[in-house]
Amino acid sequence: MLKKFMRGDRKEEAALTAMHEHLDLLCAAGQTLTELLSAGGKDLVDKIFDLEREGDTARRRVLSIIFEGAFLPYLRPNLCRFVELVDEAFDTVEDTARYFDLIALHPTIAEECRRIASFNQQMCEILILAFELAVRGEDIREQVLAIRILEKRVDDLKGDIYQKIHEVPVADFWQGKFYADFLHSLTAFSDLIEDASDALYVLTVSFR
Amino acid sequence: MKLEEIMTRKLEAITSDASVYEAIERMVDKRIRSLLVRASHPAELDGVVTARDVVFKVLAKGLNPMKVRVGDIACRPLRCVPKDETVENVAALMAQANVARVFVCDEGTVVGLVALMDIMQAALIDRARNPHA
Repeated sequence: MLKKFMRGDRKEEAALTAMHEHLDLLCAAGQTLTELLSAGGKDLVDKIFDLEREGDTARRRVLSIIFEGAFLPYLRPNLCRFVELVDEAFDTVEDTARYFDLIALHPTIAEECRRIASFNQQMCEILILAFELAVRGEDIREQVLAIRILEKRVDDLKGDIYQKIHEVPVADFWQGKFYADFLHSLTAFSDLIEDASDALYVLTVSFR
Repeated sequence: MKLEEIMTRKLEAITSDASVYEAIERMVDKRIRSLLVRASHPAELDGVVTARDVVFKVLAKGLNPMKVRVGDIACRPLRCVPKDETVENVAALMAQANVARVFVCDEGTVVGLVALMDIMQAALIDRARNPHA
């Protein structure tokens, strides 16, 4: 559907390719985060940092192509919004990895955190699929609904974590703050992916 | 999807000697439709009490929920499935037995609950991930 509204020049193809690459990098970061929460390892933290930087490069490429005149003017704000939301989600993955490196994940909440990371990864994979379908002009309602279901599951797990968090011992203020920031960024990802899927859906609906 | 991914792990339980009124309180407070009923003595089996049991066996009959024992209206035995069972098989089992939920068991211990909503959501997520299947 997006291709229908393109003016046929290569800029738009390049923008869509860069957007897909951006999403691929986000998925890779999500998968790496899932591995990190299970296995640990400084190399995985560094890998996520590298992926986030590559994601920033992809984002800048998309936005500069759009600002150079790709796509019809009324599409550009929504496309930019989608790209910015994906970038914000990427930042939360980076933050999660950073804070994870500063804490020791307590067994009381470790299982819930790993499940949230797994759901986040699934949401990302479905978002890529939704993007591919949207580009081809297909309905993405099912993908948006699936993302919403997974976001609700993350919210439920977040509730479970915050009920149990009092059992997690913290040595000082800063460890407590890093823990809180870790949990915040881990759970914020799903909200941003849901917003991104909604932004994508609005784009496809506005074409009808 | 695996059963482990869709099951509810946080299970609310009540003893069989508790009153139905306490069960109602718990269900309303937690916004859930069923409770695992733990046997109060060795001769009894664990069971499940649902909102349906409460309404049809107690309230609709005009009985006082404070005077009825949970164990007297609970359904037994628990329907258990192994945690490596497929979602499709669980759905078929629920359809065959006409039940809205089954418990997931691992080595004799109840580790989770799968309800109709969980099956529906798993089906939706599966459809979304395989759009042309």
